[in-house]
Amino acid sequence: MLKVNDLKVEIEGKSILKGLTLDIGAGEVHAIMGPNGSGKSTLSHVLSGRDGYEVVGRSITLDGEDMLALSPEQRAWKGLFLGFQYPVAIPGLNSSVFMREAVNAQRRSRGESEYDAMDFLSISREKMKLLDMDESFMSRAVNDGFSGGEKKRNEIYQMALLEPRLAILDEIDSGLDIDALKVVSDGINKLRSPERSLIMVTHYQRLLDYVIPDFVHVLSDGKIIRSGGRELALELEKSGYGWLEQDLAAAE
Amino acid sequence: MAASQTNQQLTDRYDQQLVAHQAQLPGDGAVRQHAIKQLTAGGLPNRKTERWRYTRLNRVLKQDFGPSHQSAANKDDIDSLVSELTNQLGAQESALLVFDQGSFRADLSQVSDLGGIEFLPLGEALSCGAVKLAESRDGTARAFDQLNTALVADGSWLKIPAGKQPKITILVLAGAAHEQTNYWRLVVDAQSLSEAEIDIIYLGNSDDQAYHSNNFIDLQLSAGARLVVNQIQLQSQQAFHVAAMQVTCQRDSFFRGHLLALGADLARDDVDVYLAETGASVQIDGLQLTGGSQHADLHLTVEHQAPYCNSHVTHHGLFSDHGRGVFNGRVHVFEGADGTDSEMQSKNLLLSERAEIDSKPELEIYADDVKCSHGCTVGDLDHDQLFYLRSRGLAEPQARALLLHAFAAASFSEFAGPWADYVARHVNQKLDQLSHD
Ligand SMILES: Nc1ncnc2c1ncn2[C@@H]1O[C@H](COP(=O)(O)OP(=O)(O)O)[C@@H](O)[C@H]1O
Ligand SMILES: [Mg+2]
Repeated sequence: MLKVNDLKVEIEGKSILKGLTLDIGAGEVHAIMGPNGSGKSTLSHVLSGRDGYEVVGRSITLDGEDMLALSPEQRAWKGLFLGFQYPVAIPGLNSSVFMREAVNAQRRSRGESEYDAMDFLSISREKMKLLDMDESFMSRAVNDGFSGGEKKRNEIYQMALLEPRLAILDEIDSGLDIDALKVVSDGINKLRSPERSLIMVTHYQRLLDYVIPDFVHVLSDGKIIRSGGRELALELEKSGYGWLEQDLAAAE
Repeated sequence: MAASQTNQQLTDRYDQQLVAHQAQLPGDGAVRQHAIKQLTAGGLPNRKTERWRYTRLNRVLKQDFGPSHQSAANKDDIDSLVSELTNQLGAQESALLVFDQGSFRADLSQVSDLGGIEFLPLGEALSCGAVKLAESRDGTARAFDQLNTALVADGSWLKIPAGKQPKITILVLAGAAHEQTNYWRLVVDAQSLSEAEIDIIYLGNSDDQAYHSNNFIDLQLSAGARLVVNQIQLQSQQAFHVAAMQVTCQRDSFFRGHLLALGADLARDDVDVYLAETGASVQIDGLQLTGGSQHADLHLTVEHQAPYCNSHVTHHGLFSDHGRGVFNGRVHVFEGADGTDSEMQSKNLLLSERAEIDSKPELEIYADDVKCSHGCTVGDLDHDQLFYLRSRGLAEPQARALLLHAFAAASFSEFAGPWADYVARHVNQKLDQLSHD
């Protein structure tokens, strides 16, 4: 479904992604692991169309269609979702208004009828239950004054409402205590389906105890240096990233 | 010197107005005489007056503003306006005080819901001696306060007793006749441990009359008082609006202010907060929205005179077309005011290349142990916020529109009750107008 082929990305002339290749099939869950600064967020942002990045090499395609030509909203309409590592606060914008507009914008793009306030309310209640969220939350401004855990729950709640075909979750586990991690992982697991692919970007293997991936890739210095099954994550947990990086240096 | 002659002529004219009306003006005439002397000595602000540097008065002083006399002609209009407003607001349980061209309109007001609050029309309060006209501050910069002191005939006097009191809405209607000045004054005595909320709506006439609305608000908060004042300025497009607000906070009292400037051709607000005793705190949010050739100026000063006082001020400005804004936020921490905690932010968006904001936070600190921060931003919408919305599938124009509304709405997100929707509607209307300028 998603194919990333030899992707090279620069920021202000500095090379960040140095030839990255990924192939993600429908319904698969991929974990991308890597130390801080290896380019995980850069990859997430480039996939979802943020500006400020210069793509200098090769391609990203979704079902064969060139993604790089599309705006962030067009990518969202195609079913892409990014769960942010650092969700931004928007004081003054009501969460419920925001999400209703977002869901309706996506429905319009597919030629479906829009939800009115009542329809939306009942759907959003249902999704909030998935994440054990309090309803008062919908009357608050987007991420404004939210704790770390609330922000991450909010990301998954948004994913539940938007029902993407491909979700990229950028360090959805960071800043969560173990209870919050369980709630968020439960939510993610409930959203798994044969039609929905997931990319879990993480620094730690802990998340992968709760959301079991089909594939694990290790990103280091802008390249995927090793791919494997779930056992690769466990191996990393034991030996750390240094082990693989040394391995790589020895091979060169 | 042509300019100073004009100034002289103007102050003479005000002097004559006082002489002509003195017999009808309530209260102690000496304070009024003194105010005219202050005005004559300093003159009206001109381009050399520091506090008026960015706000030129040429365009309004050309007009021959005389004192207003109530015109009977538009009474029906006002009646329907007030009933329309109260209908819109549904069953309004709070008290409503209506002022028309500066004078109290008992027929349109609802004073039965005042709870324990004592109310008198200011004219009566001055006549019977319940309150005295306070002397104005000296100096050219305060010329309009002096003018108000000299010529104000009516307004509102409120004495708020301890305990939680009902909400009060005050409608200040202006602009019934061309080139007239409406003087209005509010005096509030918030007694120890009182708790109240006052919404002040300045509303212009729908015709585009050029008029001058001169308002002065004096708020006294005794120990432990909590007072919320929401000031919503919706004057007509050709109006010249001046409002001065003076807030004095005694021990452990708390003042919360919202100041929304949406209307008028030229609007000037002066807010002076005196944190006079230990533990007093103030939180103020200001919003300016200007388009066309509108000009809005907010001068806000917080005087930290005592230790362990807090002040938090946030100013939001949104300017389009040739719209201009001025924000001067000054925090002055006195010697010995240790434990001061002060924060001041000014955030501005310019929607056109011809729009302009002059924003200046000023800090003057004479105490050692203080926490003071201030900042000012001017620019376009936040990139991270824009990307966040677009990544959820909102097309760029819609994402921008939502962020503009959010930017403005952040200034009055704490509003509750019937006026919140009314204000939100006005802000939204204004924003739609601004984004199409
Ligand atoms: N806006 C930016 N400007 C300059 N360098 C950046 C910017 N964003 C990220 N980088 C650099 O790109 C590299 C990868 O960053 P990032 O993708 O955030 O890594 P990760 O998410 O894996 O921690 C780092 O060296 C970082 O310093
Ligand atoms: Mg990252």
